[in-house]
Amino acid sequence: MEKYDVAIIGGGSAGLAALKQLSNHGKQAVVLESGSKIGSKNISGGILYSKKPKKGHVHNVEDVYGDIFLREAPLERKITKYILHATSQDKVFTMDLTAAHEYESNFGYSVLMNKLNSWFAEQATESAQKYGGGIIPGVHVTSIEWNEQNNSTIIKTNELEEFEVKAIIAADGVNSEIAQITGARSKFTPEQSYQGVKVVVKIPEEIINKRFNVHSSEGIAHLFSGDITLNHIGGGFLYTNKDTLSVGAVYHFDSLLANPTEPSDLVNVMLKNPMISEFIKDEVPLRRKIDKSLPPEEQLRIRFAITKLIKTWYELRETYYSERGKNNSAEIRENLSSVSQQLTDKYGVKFVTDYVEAEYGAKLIPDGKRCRMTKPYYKNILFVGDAAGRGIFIGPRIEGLNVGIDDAVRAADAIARALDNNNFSPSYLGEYYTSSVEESPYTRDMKQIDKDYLKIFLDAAKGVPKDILSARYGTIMKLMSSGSFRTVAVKFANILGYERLLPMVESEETYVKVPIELAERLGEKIIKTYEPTIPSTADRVAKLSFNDDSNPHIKVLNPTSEFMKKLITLCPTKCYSLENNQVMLQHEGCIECGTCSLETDWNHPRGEKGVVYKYG
Amino acid sequence: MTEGEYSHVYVIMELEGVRLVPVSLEMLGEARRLINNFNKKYEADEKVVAVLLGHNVKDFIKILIEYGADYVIYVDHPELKYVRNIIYTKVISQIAQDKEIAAKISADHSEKFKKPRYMFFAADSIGRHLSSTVLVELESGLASDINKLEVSDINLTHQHKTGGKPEVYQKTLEMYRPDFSGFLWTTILCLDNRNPSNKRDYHPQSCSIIPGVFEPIKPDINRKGKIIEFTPKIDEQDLKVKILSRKAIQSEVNFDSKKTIVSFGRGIKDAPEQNIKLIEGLAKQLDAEIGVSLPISKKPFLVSENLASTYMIPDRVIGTSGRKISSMLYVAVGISGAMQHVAGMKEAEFVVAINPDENSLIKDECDIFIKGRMEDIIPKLIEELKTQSTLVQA
Repeated sequence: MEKYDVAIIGGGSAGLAALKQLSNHGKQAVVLESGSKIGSKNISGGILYSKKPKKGHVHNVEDVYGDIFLREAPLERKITKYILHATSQDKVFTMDLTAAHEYESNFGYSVLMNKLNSWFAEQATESAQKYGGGIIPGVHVTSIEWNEQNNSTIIKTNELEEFEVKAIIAADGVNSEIAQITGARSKFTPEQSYQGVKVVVKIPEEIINKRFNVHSSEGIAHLFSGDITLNHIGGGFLYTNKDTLSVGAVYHFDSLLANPTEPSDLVNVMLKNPMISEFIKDEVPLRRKIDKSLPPEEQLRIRFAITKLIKTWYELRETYYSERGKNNSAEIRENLSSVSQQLTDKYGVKFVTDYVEAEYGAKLIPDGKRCRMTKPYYKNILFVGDAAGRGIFIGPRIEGLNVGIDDAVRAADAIARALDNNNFSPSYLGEYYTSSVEESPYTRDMKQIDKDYLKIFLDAAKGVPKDILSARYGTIMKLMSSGSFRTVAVKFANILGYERLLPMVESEETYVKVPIELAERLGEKIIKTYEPTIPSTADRVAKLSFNDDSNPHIKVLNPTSEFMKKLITLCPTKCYSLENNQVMLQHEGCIECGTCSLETDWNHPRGEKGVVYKYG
Repeated sequence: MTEGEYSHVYVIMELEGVRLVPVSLEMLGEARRLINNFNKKYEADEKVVAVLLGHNVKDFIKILIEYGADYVIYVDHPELKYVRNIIYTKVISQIAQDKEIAAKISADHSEKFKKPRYMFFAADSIGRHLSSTVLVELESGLASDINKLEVSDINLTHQHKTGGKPEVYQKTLEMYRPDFSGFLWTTILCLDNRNPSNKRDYHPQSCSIIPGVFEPIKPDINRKGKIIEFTPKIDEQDLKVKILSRKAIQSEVNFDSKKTIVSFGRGIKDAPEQNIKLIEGLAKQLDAEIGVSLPISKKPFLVSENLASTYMIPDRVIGTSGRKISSMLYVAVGISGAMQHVAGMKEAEFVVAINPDENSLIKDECDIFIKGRMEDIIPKLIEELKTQSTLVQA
């Protein structure tokens, strides 16, 4: 049987950081990734932070990969402004929260996971190969067995011969199958998780620069609350990437269950908001229907020619509006206008104002405050990042990538130490890792309120009329606004604990009602100049790439449960339908978010099967 | 090139089992039109020559003459029963360079004859392969996937071809194809090198022709043509590829050629066998192709083997993991309208849905929603369509 020192299950940003860190220690490790290529199944909202907490130390992405990270990694834009908007219909009230974004932070970059993880994979593979390790894509782990006699751990997969390892890092994400097959933790309940849904919108680089008033290297994060939440607890976001925008929304799963709304509608309401419509707008070619009375050959030729010309038009335009296009812009402009001329004259294509959606995706996000594993290990398996339920949700602060990377480094360090002493017992490995994670400032943020972080919000809210806030939060506001009281109040709140405190803060008041009132009373009216053409869910799914597996990776356990009936609405790709009062699954088109996992037998698809994200 | 070295158009026929592949007759039709104009324009007497290879193929010769061939060169040999590229390439190349055949076609200049003037192949999987290998043997060029042909005299000055001097290329075949760049057409020319430093001929001027582009001529049973039997030199070396068994995997399903598509889903469940037959009837009446929703391809109901293997197959699936169609009329019978299906029918012009459940999702995706069981509605539809069509005919 083949043997490796360490297996890392899951090639997301945490798993890859673990591989890199283990090779930094000179240890052998393999990453097992179920996607056909690294990055094909990863999706995130889209900001990667590097942090410098006042107390304690975190392991940042640039510590793992070195200086080359900031020089060469395919980062989108460095976020230099962080703005919160409260919306009500066409009115928007804006607060600058850049101070909250910069709090204890080295930097925050907008990122797209496919590109970024591919880069991480290149870096990690290069170092891992020196020690006989690397990345094996297209492999789905099905079980892990322990042979007590010779103290070995055996990994079984759909695709490979079984093999033996000394320790495992489970980095298989929010729907961790490793956690399920080992029983290390139960599935996350709706109150412990959030559902995020995102679309990637294409806009040329220079148009983003102009519209958001930034240089090519900088970007802006816009956050949204108010009526765009459709009365759910959570909010929307719009991040500028290099030549795309990430537009999405993240809502508490509990509140989605209480008031089921289709995920695509949650992102559609964002796209239709006048402020966002204006952010995403672009010039778009509109095809004329091809005359069906023409001979089929001719129809085919026309379709072929138009498709090709439009593709050329997009490519030319992207170059024209980019850094690299500046050198010979006159020539490109001439080409561009000749192509649009042809499209208009020969094929009746019109150019209209609309927006271009490139990709639709969704993901479940664990709320670390409520669901982090208190002991993130099982035997010699260490859980990291989403798999361990470790994500930070504090008001507008949503962080997962950096937490996963920090965990991965801690896990890799713990395993390197265990390898050195050939001791993989829970007391030597698991407990050591647990205490390391427990020391992480990120864990502290999942447990307690940071009064300095809170102050930033109070300062930002200074311009807000007292009557709106005090009507809602009366005593709390009074206590919090005064420096001396705040210390006491936060201490008291921390004694109460997040659990008792959260329902007060994470409420409809905070995310919906107060923002709406703010927008109505103080908001600026924004005029929309066009109506965006929003694709249907079917169109969005049709645009994604799939490698369909004829065997379903999900089985419905209780087809008549209330939860499953709500999934008909809550599944982002409408894979569920009702027939004779029974919920039926059609798994083709599933984007593997795990929204339905609580009451289904949920597995990741076999190796190479399932959705392939291009952006992520 | 001197007069008589290259003459006539040789058209390579293609058979599938006991049928002539339609593009064979289409190519003959186009060759006929081209050569008629050619002979008129140049006061010449060149011929359309059909080349037919196979076993027991004599029955087809008459048809080829009716459809425009002046000469049919045929090879009847058991080893040529099925197309095998190596041996077919050799035999066709022998025919194309055979002076005796040329002498039979036209005694003039037959001594000088080297190769045909033009050669046509079908642009299907067999013809594309064969054309490339034959033209390697004949040491000339090939234009693939052609959908328009013309003969003209071309003035050309070209550094490489003509050594920078103006030259007139007479009787040049202009071969058109849709362009990769999105512009209208590309014209492909196959020209001799007349540059003294690099002289050589490029004949035949050859192409493969996209099926369905050209019309065959009206067959004329009184047309006269001549028949030449050719006995090839077959080398055992060229028979190394053996055909052990043949299985047709071609899809019977063709969504693009029909204006209407009728498709069905799990709604057939009450009486699957009878309902599929009803749908067959409706499709026949509408001259429609039949599609299915994804779950049907997993054969969820027990029906006769014949129906299951005809309809409950992945080839017919319309949707995200099947085909995307754009028919004029789309009739969705017993289809709930799951997202996976809707994604495949979005481009249909007009959608009629038949479903007993008015809350089904398909209701939001159709132009006409007929509420009811297919068992009740389809017979009425068929009846009405029959009446309408008799009225139209009258």
